[in-house]
Amino acid sequence: MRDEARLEQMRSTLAVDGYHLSVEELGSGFDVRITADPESCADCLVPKKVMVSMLEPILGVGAEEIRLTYPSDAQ
Amino acid sequence: MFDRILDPTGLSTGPANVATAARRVPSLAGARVGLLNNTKQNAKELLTEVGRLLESRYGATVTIQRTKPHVAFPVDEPMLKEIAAVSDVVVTGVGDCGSCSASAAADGIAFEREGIPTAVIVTEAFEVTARAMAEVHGDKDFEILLTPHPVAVLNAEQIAQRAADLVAVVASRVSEGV
Repeated sequence: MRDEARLEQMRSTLAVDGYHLSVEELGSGFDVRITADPESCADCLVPKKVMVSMLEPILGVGAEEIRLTYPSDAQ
Repeated sequence: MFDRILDPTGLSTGPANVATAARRVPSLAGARVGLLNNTKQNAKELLTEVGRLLESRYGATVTIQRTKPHVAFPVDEPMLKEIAAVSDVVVTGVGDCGSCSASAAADGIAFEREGIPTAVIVTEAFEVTARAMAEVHGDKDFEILLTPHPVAVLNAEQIAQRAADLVAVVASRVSEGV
């Protein structure tokens, strides 16, 4: 089950580095998108694999149920 | 073709879900201190000052100070082994962003599994990512030492004060006799 409190904590922490988290339910999984402010530090965002690992217990699903889009994916 | 493929989680170098607490040193008197900084602004300065205070106040000796080659990735095994070989305790940080706080937590757990009690310093704004990474590494209750955010903008006097604020909890984290 999705842990809303932890998700909100993650959202707040990402915002400190200039990143913005959105999460939408997608069937049995989640569509997670992280976007960046223009001045955000590129090195400050954990690698995608790490982010998925972190999100697994927060969203209550396995990695295969998380579709993650990073700012670099939009370029 | 490839020198090395880095695993950003750091999990490829050790098992997950394994107890991470190394035995604390009985006393810091005569203890060898390793410092591992992660390239963040003021991390080296803060750790250096913490090391100096561990020497002057607790009788420890800083034997090695290293800088990670990349802020976002956990310490690689050669550097881990190099530091562990000459250290009784390690202080690492500063997690002052998302990726570096996560990798600092991973580093701390890696050193603990190597048998080296380790103090991991992270700024309060990034406690969440540090703890999330600790959970990825199988220890969601891993102790992380918090300091106010940010560290990057501190001047020399403020760094000295921050180190003075931290040194007692660092000492308590890695030793029994404090």
